[in-house]
Amino acid sequence: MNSPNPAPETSAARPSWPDALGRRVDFKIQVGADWWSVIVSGVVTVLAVFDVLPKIPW
Amino acid sequence: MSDTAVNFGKNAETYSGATDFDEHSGPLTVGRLLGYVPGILLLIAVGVLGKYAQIWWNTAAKHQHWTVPDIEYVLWAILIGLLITNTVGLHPIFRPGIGTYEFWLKVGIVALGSRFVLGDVAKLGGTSFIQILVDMTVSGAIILAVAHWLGLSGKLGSLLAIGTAICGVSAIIAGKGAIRARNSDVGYAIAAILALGAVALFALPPLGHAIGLSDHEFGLWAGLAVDNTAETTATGYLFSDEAGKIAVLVKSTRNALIGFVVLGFAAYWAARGEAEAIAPGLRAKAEFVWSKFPKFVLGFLALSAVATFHWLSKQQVTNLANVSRWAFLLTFAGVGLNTNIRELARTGWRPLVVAVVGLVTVAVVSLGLVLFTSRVLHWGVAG
Repeated sequence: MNSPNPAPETSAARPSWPDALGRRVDFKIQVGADWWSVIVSGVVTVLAVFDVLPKIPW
Repeated sequence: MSDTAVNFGKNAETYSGATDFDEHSGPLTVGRLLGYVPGILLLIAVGVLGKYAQIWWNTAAKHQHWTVPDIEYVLWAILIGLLITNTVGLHPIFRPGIGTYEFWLKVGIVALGSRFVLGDVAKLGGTSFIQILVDMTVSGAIILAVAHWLGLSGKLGSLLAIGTAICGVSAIIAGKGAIRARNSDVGYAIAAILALGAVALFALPPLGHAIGLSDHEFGLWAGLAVDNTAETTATGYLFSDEAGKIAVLVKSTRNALIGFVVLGFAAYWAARGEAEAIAPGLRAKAEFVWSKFPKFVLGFLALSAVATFHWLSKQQVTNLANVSRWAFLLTFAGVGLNTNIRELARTGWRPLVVAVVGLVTVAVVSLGLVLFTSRVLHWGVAG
């Protein structure tokens, strides 16, 4: 049974530094909870700056 | 929209066996958004119940002339959540929404920025930064030594040190990929950190009162000693509103260091040939540190800047403070709902012993630092 030869190890096959540290680098926009919290709070803040945020009771 | 992925609340199911701790869970679709609704409604219900439980408790005590402690809404929300999870249990339909409690925590922290001026942030951040470095070095070294002495794997010891010295679950998740730790080690470390977070939550506020700490001192102590941000926030607010504010700021400073600490551990394991080799170059390292940097800290600073420049009316500052309180209320409900005592007990005693040693070490070292810097050196902002 013939098994395919493993690909020669070249420098191009080595993972990049961010990949090696577990970070998948791609060109998608990854929006995590961190950024969502900034976006949501940012919208609320803009409303507050323009004084259109309704009264929030506690 | 398909290019946009969302990752709400990472540690909701981590200690119950999920393995993909740090993967983005796919595109944000209407179906996924609807999946969050039942859990978020449960967070709101538990939070509101906690808030009213405090009012009812105090009213009943006053009418009946009972001498009982004033139990804060923070504790009520956590206790009600704990009771639900550990008695009737949670239907899977609630899990996605309950996992959003970390998102609410971050919204609360960003909105809390409106209650700080940048000068205070710099002053408190600067003094606590020195305390964090001392605390991290001493407690990290002790945890690594105890883990080694108990025969835990080196990587589990590293994860416990990262989690205890820096930032609990988020730091462990960040460290997982970097040091190529096994999922079982990650599960152990997270369970141990969460268990200890729960212990700190109930132990530190009464201890702080017994020692006679001021709001400022207790806020510093909670920010330095409690590992997970949600538990840190709850511990601070259990003591007082002012202590909660300070605890959040100190903890955010700790969180900002995640990237550097994980980078250090990654370099150590790579040098031992047990993680992928580190590519040279400052740029790659800077990219890595940025990828692990908690972005909500930037939101907090931006809001502090808005408050510093007086771009908000007094009423709107109150509104933003209330947004922060409501967001934290959902977080506290989530802390209770996500704490499954049976799951934590399954962790085994060794990682828990290391974590207990870690908590005690961090608590003692940080208390010593807080007392020394505030009472001897008179550092910090008046509380």
